[in-house]
This record gives sequence, C-alpha cells and structure tokens, in this order.
Amino acid sequence: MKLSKLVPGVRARIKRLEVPGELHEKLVGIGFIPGEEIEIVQVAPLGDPLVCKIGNRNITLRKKEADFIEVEVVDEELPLILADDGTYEITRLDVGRRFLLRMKNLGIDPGKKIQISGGRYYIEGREIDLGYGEAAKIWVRRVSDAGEKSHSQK
Amino acid sequence: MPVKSPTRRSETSQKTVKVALAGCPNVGKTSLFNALTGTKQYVANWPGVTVEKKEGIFTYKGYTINLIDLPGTYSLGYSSIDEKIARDYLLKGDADLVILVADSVNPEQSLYLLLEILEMEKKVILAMTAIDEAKKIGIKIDRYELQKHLGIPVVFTSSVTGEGLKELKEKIVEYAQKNTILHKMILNYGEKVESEIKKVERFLGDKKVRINLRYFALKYLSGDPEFYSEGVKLGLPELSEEERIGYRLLIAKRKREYVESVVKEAFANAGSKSLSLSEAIDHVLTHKFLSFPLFFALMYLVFKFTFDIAQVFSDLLDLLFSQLGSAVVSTFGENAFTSLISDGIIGGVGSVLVFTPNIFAMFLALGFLEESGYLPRAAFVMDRIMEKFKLSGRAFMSLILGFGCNVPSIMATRAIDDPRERLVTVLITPFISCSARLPVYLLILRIFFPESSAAMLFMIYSLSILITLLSSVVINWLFYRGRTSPLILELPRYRMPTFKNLYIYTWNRGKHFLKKAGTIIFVSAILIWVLSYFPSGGDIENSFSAMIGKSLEWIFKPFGYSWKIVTSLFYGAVAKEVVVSTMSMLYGFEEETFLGAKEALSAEMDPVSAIAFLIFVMAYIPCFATIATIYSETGSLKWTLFSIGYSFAVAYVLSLIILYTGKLVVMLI
Repeated sequence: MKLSKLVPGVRARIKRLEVPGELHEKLVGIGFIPGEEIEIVQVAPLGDPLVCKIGNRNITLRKKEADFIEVEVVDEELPLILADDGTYEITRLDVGRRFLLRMKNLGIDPGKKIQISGGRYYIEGREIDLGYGEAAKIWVRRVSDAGEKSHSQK
Repeated sequence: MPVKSPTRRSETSQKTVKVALAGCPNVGKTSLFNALTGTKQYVANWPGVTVEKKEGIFTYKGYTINLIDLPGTYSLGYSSIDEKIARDYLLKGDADLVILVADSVNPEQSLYLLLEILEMEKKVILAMTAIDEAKKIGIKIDRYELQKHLGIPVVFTSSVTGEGLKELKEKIVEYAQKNTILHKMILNYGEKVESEIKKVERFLGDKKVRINLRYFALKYLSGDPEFYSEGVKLGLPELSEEERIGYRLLIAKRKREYVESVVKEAFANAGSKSLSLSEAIDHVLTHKFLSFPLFFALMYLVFKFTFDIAQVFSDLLDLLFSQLGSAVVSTFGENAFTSLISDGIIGGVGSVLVFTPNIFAMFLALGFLEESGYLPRAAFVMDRIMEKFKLSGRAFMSLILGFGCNVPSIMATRAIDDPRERLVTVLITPFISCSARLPVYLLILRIFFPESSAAMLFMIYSLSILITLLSSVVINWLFYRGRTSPLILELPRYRMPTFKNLYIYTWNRGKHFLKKAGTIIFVSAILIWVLSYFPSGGDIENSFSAMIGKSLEWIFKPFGYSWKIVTSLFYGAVAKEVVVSTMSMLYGFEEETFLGAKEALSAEMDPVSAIAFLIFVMAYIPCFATIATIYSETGSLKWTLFSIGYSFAVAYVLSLIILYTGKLVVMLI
C-alpha cells in the first residue's frame, strides 16, 4: 500500500522506497528507511501535504512523494478501507448519528464478522454496499490467517 | 578557500581555535551560537555561493575562538545547497574541531548526523542543547554512556539558563590542543558492506585521495553523486542503481540502529509528555477549519505590528528630518549648498530612513514566528495553494514579507533550500507591492477616485499578488519546464523565543538593510538633486532632469504622459517613494498641499490613465535596493538584468492593456 493512502492514526511499516534519484538519498537521510514504523499524524487543510511521524519526529511530505513510499499496516485494528481481502471482526464505529443508524440497518455492529473479497464486503454471506467515507469509519481487526493466500495476488 | 577572520592574523596562530558549529535545523544551533558569541557576529557569503555565512568570535583563557555557524542539515547528502556547504566545509575546511549541536528532547536525527561527521574522522564535541527542557519533562541523559558509545566529549548545555556554556568553552580549548582524536568510533556495517569498503579503500590507497578513505568508500557505495562520479573517474567499477540503493539502505539502517541503541542506553524516559503539548498546539494551528483563519489573523497581526506600532516612530523620524531640513535652510540661508543638504541629502535619505522602524518591527515579528516554530507550520498549511504556482509553502513565507519591503523579503528566501525555487522566488518578489509604493497610490487615488479609493487599493494589491504568482508560472515555464521541488521538512516543537535571540535576529537583519539601502539612497539623493539643480541653478524646466524626462518621453508615447511624469517614473526606479517627491518638485506643489497636486495632475491625466499609471508603478523595475539585493542573492548579472527587463515589460504591457480597454469602456458607456 502506498503511504499516501494511509489514514491518520494507523501505524504502518515502511516496506520500500521507489523514489527516483536524489530524492531517495534525501528521504533515507531524514529517516524513511524500510523497517521503520510510520504514522500519518496530520493532513494539511487542503488535503496535501501530510505530516508523518517517524520515531519522535514529525516530517512533512507531499502526497506526490508519499506515493513513492510503500508501507504495510502493522496495527491490529484498522479502518475497513485499508483492509486486504480476508475475514475481520468489526471492533468499533466512528461517531455520527445518521451513520450509526444506517450501519445498524445494514447489520454492521461491533463484534460481527465481515469478509472482504475482491474489494467487496460481505456479512454472513450477504454483500453490503459501503461508500468510501463509510468504510473509513468502520474499524476492524483481522481474525483469521486465511487471508494469507489472497495477499499474494497483489 | 575559507574566509579569514578579522582577528586571526593579528594574534599568534597558536592561540586561535577555529570551530565549526554543525547540527540539524531547529535544534537550537543559532541559540547556542548567540549564547557563545553575543553580537560579535559577522555575516558574509560562503565563497562561491550566496548562502549567508555567519561567524562569531569569543575569547576564553587567552584563546581566540572563531566559531563558524554551518547551515543546518538533517544529513550530509548532496541535494541542497546547505548540505553541500556544510559537508564541503567539514571535509575540506580548516576547522580545528566541530561542535555538533543535538536536541536533548529529540536526539535521534542529531545523533544520525553526528555519526556521519564522526566518519570523516573529525574532532567532535557533542553539545546536547535544551537540557533544561529535557529535565523539565523528566528526560534523564547519562553523559558517561553517551561518551562511552560515541567516543567523544559530551557537554549538556542550555542557551536559556546558560548551563554548560563555560564547560563547553573549557572543552573546546582543552580538546583543540590535543593532536589526536580521542577515540575513533568505527561502525561495523556487516560483512557484505565491510568487504566492499575494504576493496575500495585498497584501491584508493595509492590514488592520493585527501579525504578519509572509509568515508569516501561509504559515500561511493551509497551512490552519492559527488563521490560516486569521482570514484568512477578514478577507476572504481560502476555500480547499478539497485546496488547503490541497496548499500545506501544498509548503511543508513545500521546507523539508525546504532542511534537507537545509544538512545536506549543513555536516555531514560525519552519523548514522553513534552511532545503532547506541542501536538495539542499543532492540532489547533494546522486544524482543518481553524488553520486558515488563524493564519490570516497572525499575518494581520504582523502587518498591524509592522505598520501601526512602528508608525509612531516613523512619524517621529519624519518630523525630525523635516525639522532638520528646514533648520539647515533657516540657519544658513537659501543657496545651492543648503539646498543640497536639506532637499537632497536630508530629504532623500530621510525618506528611506523613516521606514527603518517598520523594517525593524517586521523583523521582530518575523523573528518571533520563526523562533517559535510557527513558520514551518504556515508553510505546511499554505503549501497546496503555492504548489499550483510551482512554488512551495517555504516560498510563501518570504513573499508575505514583501508587502513590507522587498529587500528583507528577498533575503528571507535563503530559507528555501531548492535552488530553482529560491531563484524563482527572488525574481517574482518585486511584484509584491511594498510599502514604499503606498504613498504613490494614496496620492493618485485621492485625486481621481476619492469615493472608491479603498476598493481601488484592494484591486491593486490583489493584482499585485496575481502577477507575482503568475510570474512564477511564467518563469518556471521559460526556464525549468516540469520541475517542482518537494516539501520535506521537520516540524520542530514549539518554544518560547528568548529576548536575546529576538534582539540578535532583528538587529542583524535590520543592520543589513540600513547599510545597503542607506548607501544607495544617499548616493542617488545627491545625484537627483544635482540633476535637478543644474545647469540652470534651480530652474527645473531647464535642468538635466527635464532633459532626461524629455528624452525618454517617446517610450511613454502610447500612454500620453508628459516629461514630468516620465521623470518621476525614472527617478522612482531608485526608490518608489521618490515618485511622489519628484512630482512635487517638478510640478512645484508642496507634498502636504493636496489641492495643488490635484490641480496639477488633473490637467495631465484622466481616471483611466491614472489607473494605468498606478499599475505601472506597482509592477515596473525593482527599486535600487531591491536590484542590489537581487544581484547579491543570485550572484548573477544575467538574472538581475532579467528581473529588470521582465518587470518593465510586464508593467508596460499590463498598463497599456488597462489603458486601452479602460478607454474603450469609457467610450462605450
């Protein structure tokens, strides 16, 4: 997953940098090294740039540069939009009265299992339709290791 | 060649110690520099480049210690001009030893930089700054662990409380006398890298490389542009990009791991609650909805402070100069000499000196924003907008200052590390409407648009911002197609600026302005007076000034301006405020009497041509002080001439368009 796609509050680990030329050296010099944990702590008011936290330091980066940085989520709990194919348990829903009501109607409750397959969401075998914004507010935890095989398709 | 210090030659060289001060940006390097040297600082340019070089001198126990402040860098790569300077000086300069300044609260990046410097085999003292802050939030640092792991002397300092400064001086004197490095620290990079390093070292052994071989090998392997190409030139094998990146990551990773282990051993309770306060402030200042209103409120306060608070002093100075001028005339009578003194020198130089309080106030406000750590946040918030115009958030801050005066604004571009972006920012800054142009606007608008002058003023300022940003697009398109520079900077934690730092910040920059502007205005004031007084002995119609205006009249034929306006514009190129004073001299109306001016100028212009005139004044040729600054900052005659030619062309075309569309509209109505 690209760093630019990561959402604030979720910890990830840098996998590799696919940066051309001089910029690579600069990024490595300031601490963007594979293996380091990274987190987005702030997004500028207009959506770009980002502030990433590496160790104790806050470093700004534009999305264009964040696109070069491949990361993987290390947190147990993550929003649905960042989840790969597999089975997850819903842990919590972000606030919002209308949002919560709609989720209840869809049968989305903390504790329930949700399957992801090919980017689609299923609960108890029934496909449910979620928007990007909605999926960003649903936090889940991976429950089985069955997702490993679908990892490789990436 | 490193610059010689003023005292170096006069004392026995044995007793002079040259110390380079290195560190990451925002770790308190400047504060430490100020704390050690006070105001005994000298600013010069680095040889060959135009980045400011700061030197300071202090004495301790009979030793003269010459401190060179290196630009702040996160690492010693080769991508920005700051990095190049710091690294070249460390590698090839004549420093006897290096002080590495590290932030006690957030030491990781500083220690990473330290490892890079240690690999050059330099004598280094580690100064852990902000030790008072670290103590306050409960961070405990074990000095002996640090010394053991790094093999160098470590001193805990605080520029706020003064702790450790004496000890640091003691260490400098003591360590400089020693002939050897205390303890060589060699980091082992693992079998694969080490065997390559050995190979390279062996190969370079008989090549008379003057730089530490291990350092050379590390940089060559990691594909550093300078060392890699030099290595290949010497006959080392070419490496694929993949290999170079592989080595680079291995080397960087090992350094990070080592830093981590040192921090783990020597630091207790690091990075706890201190950052939470900073993060809380950040949450507000970079908030999705609050950040913009807060940003504009802060900018408004800076302007308010710069113009309102300082205005009192400006008015006092103004009064002083006019009193002085008339005192000269009333004491010595009216003749050519007193005219030169009062009209020429006191009037001309005074008209610029009255802006001094504004300049100082602006630097004080700016210094506060910078020292507190807000500036990087402002750059962060505004970056998206600036990116549309091929600039970054860093350019934004220096442009904002241009509303006060373009000179310090151009000087502030030094904070921009990308050379392309810095040059573009320097070249577009003159379009930001500085305060010197305000008197011209106010006079003309009061005459031709008494009802709607505020709206017209707003329009002119908006147009000025628009032209500035569009010029960036144009210049980028002309010279740098398709390149934008990234915005990679660390957001430091907030801190309260100390009085001493603000004072030194303001004085050092204001002093620079006084000297530069002072000399240029002084000379031009005398010149204008001479040209207007001779050869006719005070009769302006037949003066050299009139000849100049008349001979240039043809340029402004399409505008229909008389020679008097042309002459004002000509002299206005020296300093924009001179336009008004030249007009008052040529038309023979007193600057204070508005009716006289109205009568004289109404006969020459209609509202449409008046607007065209104002737009012309807004955009045309930067003033002399600005031109001189552009020259000194770019170090290039070519760019300076480009700036003059480009702005003149923009002004000419733009005001011509406004003139003729305006006339058309008036005709149709």
